[in-house]
Amino acid sequence: MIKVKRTPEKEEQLRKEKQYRTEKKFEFEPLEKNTDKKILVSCRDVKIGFYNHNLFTPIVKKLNLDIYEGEVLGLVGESGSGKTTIGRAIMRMIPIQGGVITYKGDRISGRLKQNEKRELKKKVQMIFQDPSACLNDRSNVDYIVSEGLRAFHLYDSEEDRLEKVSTAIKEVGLRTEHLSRYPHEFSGGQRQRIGIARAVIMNPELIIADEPISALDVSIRAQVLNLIRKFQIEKKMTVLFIAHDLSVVHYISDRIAVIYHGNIVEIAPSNRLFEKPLHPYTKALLTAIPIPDPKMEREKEIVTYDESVHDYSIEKPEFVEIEKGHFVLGSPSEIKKYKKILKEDKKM
Amino acid sequence: MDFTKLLTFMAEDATDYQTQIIISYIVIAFLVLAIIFIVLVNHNLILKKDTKFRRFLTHPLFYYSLKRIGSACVSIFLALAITFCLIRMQDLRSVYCPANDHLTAEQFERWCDAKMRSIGLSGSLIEQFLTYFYNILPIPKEICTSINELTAECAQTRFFTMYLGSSARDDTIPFIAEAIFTKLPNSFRWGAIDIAIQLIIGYPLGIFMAKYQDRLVDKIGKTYIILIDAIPGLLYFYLIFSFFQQLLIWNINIFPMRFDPDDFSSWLAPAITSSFAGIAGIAYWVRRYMLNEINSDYVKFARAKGLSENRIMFTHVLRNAIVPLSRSLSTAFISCLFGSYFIEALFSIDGFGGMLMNAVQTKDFMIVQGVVVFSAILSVISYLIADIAMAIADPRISFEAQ
Amino acid sequence: METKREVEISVKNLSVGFISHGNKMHVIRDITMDIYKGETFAIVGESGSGKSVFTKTFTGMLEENGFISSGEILFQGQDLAKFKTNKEWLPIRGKKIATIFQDPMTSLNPLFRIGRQIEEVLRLHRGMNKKEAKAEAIELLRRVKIPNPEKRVHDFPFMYSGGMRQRVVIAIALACKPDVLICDEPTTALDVTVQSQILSLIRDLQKEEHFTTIFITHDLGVVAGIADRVAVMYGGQIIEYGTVEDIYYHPAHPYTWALLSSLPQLAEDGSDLTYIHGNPPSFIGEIDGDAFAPRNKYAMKIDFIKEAPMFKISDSHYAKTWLLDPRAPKVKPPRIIQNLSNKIAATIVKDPINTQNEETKAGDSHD
Repeated sequence: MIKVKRTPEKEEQLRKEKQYRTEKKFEFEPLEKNTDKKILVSCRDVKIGFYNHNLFTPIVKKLNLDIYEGEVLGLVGESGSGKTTIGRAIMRMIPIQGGVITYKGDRISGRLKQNEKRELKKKVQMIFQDPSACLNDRSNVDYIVSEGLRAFHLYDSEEDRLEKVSTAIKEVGLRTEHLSRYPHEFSGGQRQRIGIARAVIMNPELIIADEPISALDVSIRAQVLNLIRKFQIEKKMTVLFIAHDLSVVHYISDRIAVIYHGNIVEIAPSNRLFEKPLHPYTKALLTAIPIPDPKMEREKEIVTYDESVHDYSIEKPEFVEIEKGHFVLGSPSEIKKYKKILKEDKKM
Repeated sequence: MDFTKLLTFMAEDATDYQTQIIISYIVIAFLVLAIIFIVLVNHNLILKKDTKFRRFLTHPLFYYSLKRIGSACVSIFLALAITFCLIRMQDLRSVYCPANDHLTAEQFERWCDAKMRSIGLSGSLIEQFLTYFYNILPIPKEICTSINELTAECAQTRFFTMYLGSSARDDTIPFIAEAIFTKLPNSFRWGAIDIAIQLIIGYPLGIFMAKYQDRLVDKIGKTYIILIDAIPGLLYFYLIFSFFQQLLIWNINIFPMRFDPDDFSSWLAPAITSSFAGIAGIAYWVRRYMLNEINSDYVKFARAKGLSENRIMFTHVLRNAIVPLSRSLSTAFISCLFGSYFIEALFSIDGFGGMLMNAVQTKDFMIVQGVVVFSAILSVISYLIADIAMAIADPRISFEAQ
Repeated sequence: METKREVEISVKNLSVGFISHGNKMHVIRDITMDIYKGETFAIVGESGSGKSVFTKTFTGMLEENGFISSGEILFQGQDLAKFKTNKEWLPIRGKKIATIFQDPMTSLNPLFRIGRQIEEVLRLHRGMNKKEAKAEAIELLRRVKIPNPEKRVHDFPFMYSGGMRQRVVIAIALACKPDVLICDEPTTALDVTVQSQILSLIRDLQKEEHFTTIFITHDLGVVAGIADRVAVMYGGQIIEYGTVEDIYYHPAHPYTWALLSSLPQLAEDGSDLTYIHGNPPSFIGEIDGDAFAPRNKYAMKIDFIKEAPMFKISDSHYAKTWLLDPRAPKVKPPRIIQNLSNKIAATIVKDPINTQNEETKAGDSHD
């Protein structure tokens, strides 16, 4: 046997990976320094990808992310950037290839016992992009909405179940007589509301909303957004809001994470991100939002993002907290530059 | 074409045998080297300069086909192993050594042992399998076919000879492969016509049914498909058969009823009879795939481009609808060779379909094994061709496989 | 603009019906509209407002169960509404009026090379031979800014990204130098960054080729950037039209107000987004009065009885609401959309360009 000499870093990394796989409980320091917010979900060194003929193709490269209890975290990026993948990984719909995801300190990635999986499914619910594709056409609204209740036996009697379903359906702004109807009888916005009712009836702690509004019209968008916000405030749910439209995310989120090609390039409180975007990709995204004002939209200059502006051949990029709660990905010299911009900004 | 001459199984003499061996070594060495070379090129280890030759070798389709051939070989091997096991579950000794009153028990045992050895049924199972597999490999080898305990009649075969064993019942079939090759042309003669008729009528019928959806053509076609599917096959075989006979009674002899390998006109009756079901199948699937495509966005865009309806139908839609159908073509061919026992019985054709039936009835297991192996090889090859045809029709398949 | 502009497409009293499950539906109800040469005319509306159906009548691409029940569409001296057979449409469709659709992923035939799909049109409409068509196809790909067109012309659509495919679709649409380009939500399926590139591509090409663009979308942000004039559609009718400035700064119809108020940019922190209650009208049966009345906060009694006529607000600006009648009470648009510019200006990033300039300067000094 040939013994391969490993560097201490490699040794450390392997030790960590093993720990991620085997241990059940984790207590991570929050990424943000000096914060007293409670963490619901943490992702540490998460790597997701798929094997294509023995070749590993990464989708998410090295994800470090905290989701606080009760917040709305917006996850923004273009298609193929891995934003949906992250949501699905938390839901355990796809396996992760490295790192660990914890839910209130319990590991939820990798191998779990059957009852642990069930517990997680009860606490985490998802709202999908295409309401017409995710509702079973052959079953009526009553069945669709109460399916989760049935699966986990969360009701005492048939009356109790019916009551729960009708409250949920009323809460999303539909009427109880709609319960006996089938999804195709509803409009897109109503279908999305059924999708929300289905998720909310389980009283989940975390809702993963995967582009819930991109298939909807402007006016209906507003309804659905209001609904998600209402539940978030009333029931103190945590929402991971995945979208590609920054203007919507700005409205609904407390914090925004911008993701590009599997890396989170910037996280900041949502107003701060709009005020002072640092990473060039964030800027490109922000300028690309069409402004609903003829004069401004015409005068607007579009910043295009070119990956080659970064020179990561010598300096490796790091994910740094540049000011309170504001993280950005950059090499040490870039970070210096960003800090300078922030300083100048303060002077002004 | 005379298939028997093309596939002369025996080497003429010892020198011919020697040359055959040398040729086979050269061919095998060449194949192995070529495969290694292609794999190396595709993994960017050699020949890195961009030339036409390299581009050909690294073309996704080419490499995909190569991989597909590799997996086909594995499938054939598995098919061989499974057939082998199934046949060995039978009590072969009682079949191959029928009771003989003229021999004493000891003589009978000796005779039987010798017979079993000569047809490769003695020794341990693994030993048997290895001999069996070796015999099937298309390389020159020495095989003994005699079932007489006194004289061992051994012969040297030529390159590309597959020895599938010899019949237990019929001494006139020393080579099952040879027997198959004399019967196959008969099946092929009418089978090819059958497929031609299916394609020539089935495809346009399906296309027109899709084009004029819910109009008269479509309704007639649908009725036809339902009738063919609903009535048991035997009944309309019989109806058509009696129709042909009626023609004979009226002295119309365009469709002679008795199959004659040398008379083309006699090939038509079985072909027409069997094509009815095939037409229904093809028309049904063509129509379905066409309708799937007609509602897709690129057809709308093609219309917006200003292309005429016929052009959209016959280039864009048909091309896309053919992709899933390109698969069925070669399997249809295979099924017309195997699954035509009815037809062969009705028209007294000495074909491949009846061969298996006869062998099973007479418990001639070596023939059963030979026919099954042969058809397994044929089907694997036909699926291989179908997959490659599909990859040619749809570039996404071979590219995604890369 | 004071001078009378040349009209490209003139729609007069157009009505379109559909027959579905034995029910007759009036999807387009009595639209009269002039579209001028060289302008970008945007049609805004919710799904189901009939905006796609309206433009489909220009190329005769209504679904099988749809028909033009009355009215005329005058285009270059011909009445398109009278066309019956496909043969009549052939010289118009694709040649003079080209269309691009929403989903670039499915608009191209997956089995044909990009080059062939472009050449097909060139050979059909411009009578080119194979060689000329190929050269022209490469040229067209270059014009829509596809890098390395000589090589990519041989690729299959699945090798292209969504944005690139939409570029190819645009190239095909423009291959015959059409007079009118209908863009049916061309960027809805695309990412924001790609969307802005495609929009600027369409704008640039229009500057060079001077074709008329009819742009259908439900995104008010996109309209603001690209359109010269905007028509707002609701319930199969155009309920307000005018220049972009008219619509954004002086909207007159309650529906336009509602649309503008539901912009997420306008929401104040912590408050709900404004939205339009109720559902769009179903087209089965007759609609009494104003189609928007049941959802309209400002609806008056007359709105439920009689349809409002088009009131002229200025030379370019018209709206179909009884609120403009001299006898109607004076109603001001909702507070949220007053002073739209300032509110939106507050939400957008302040000078992203400047910070970047600083950044590049800083980078320079670093080197």
